[in-house]
Amino acid sequence: MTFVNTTLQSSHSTIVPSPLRSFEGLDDGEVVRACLEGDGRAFTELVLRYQTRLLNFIYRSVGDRERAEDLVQEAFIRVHRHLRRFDQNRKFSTWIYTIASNLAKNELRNRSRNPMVLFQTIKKNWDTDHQPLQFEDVHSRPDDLYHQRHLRELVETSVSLLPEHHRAVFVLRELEGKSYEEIAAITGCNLGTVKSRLNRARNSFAAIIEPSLD
Amino acid sequence: MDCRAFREAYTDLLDGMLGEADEVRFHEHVAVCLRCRRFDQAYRLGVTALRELPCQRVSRAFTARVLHTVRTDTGRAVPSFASGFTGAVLVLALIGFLAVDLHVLEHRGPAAFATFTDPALVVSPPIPDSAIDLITFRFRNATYDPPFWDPYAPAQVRDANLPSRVRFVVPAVWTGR
Repeated sequence: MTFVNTTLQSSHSTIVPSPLRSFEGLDDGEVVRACLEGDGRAFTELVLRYQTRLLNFIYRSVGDRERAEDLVQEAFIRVHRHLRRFDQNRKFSTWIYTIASNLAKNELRNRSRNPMVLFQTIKKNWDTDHQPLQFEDVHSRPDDLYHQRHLRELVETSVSLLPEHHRAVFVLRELEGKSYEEIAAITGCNLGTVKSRLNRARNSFAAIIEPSLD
Repeated sequence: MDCRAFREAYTDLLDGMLGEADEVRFHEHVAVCLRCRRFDQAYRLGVTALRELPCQRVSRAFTARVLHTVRTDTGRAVPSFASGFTGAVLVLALIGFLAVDLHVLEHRGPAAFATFTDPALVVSPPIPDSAIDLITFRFRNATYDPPFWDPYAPAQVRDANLPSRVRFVVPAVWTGR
């Protein structure tokens, strides 16, 4: 019994990608078509276009940067395996974000079964060695700098404190700029649910930030 | 507009889905309600700060690692339950596959209620270099009982001389070959 192999093996074994072809200016659909036609560089282009966006999206969802990278890699592997089944009438970004969203959900579900993993993840994220290097504005007053740093930390925390299904919608809307329809497709909810969750997420987010206005 | 209505319609305001009149009422409420004004300020401040957070960058070797993993991926996805179940069913069918060659068109009826007469099992000559054998079950369909949905229907008698057969394809080991 054999399973149907849907990978693009031919693109890597027999087709030599044209070194002169540039994908700049092509939309995702055209790059996907090139990929399906056997151009190996086309998949590289997709990786370059989406790796950072997916990393930020998944990082905001799961809160662990290293794990987020693993999940982004897994998302690209799944895209590569199932690209032939992708409906080219749909937006590629919606499809890849759906895959990423499902991976993030599974990660959070697995974590909820193992509290120790969650504790270690939170502890690691707050280790100062892992904080990104930030250059402070030397023209600002010290108390303004303190306030800004405090606000940054508060904002990071507040997103992680949102319930999982609210957080996904909030991040997709406020940080990724997705439309309601795209969010509905990515999360598998209807438009009414998306709007309701977004409203609750925004209310919760504002409620956490409000005390810092003083 | 009261505070509750303000909170419920806040998303519509941010996404530009409020009509002009509602938007005016919104801003009028914010002007007079300190609590909702603070809420609005907190949200806008927080989202601005969130969008200004440093963007996470992939590690230096990430892209090369992804492309290498993808290129060496054999595509052996872990079968889902559905595909595994389907595979198991097909494997079972191959092991105990029965091909039914029904020549009972002239006797179409609920076979479960048929009474077979003169049954005979005939094993066809072995097929060279084949792992299967053909067994033919010949019978004469004499009568059949009324269907369960119409128990008062009379039993019908078929022409006892009209033969019928069902052919089975079985693994050769079943016939001892």
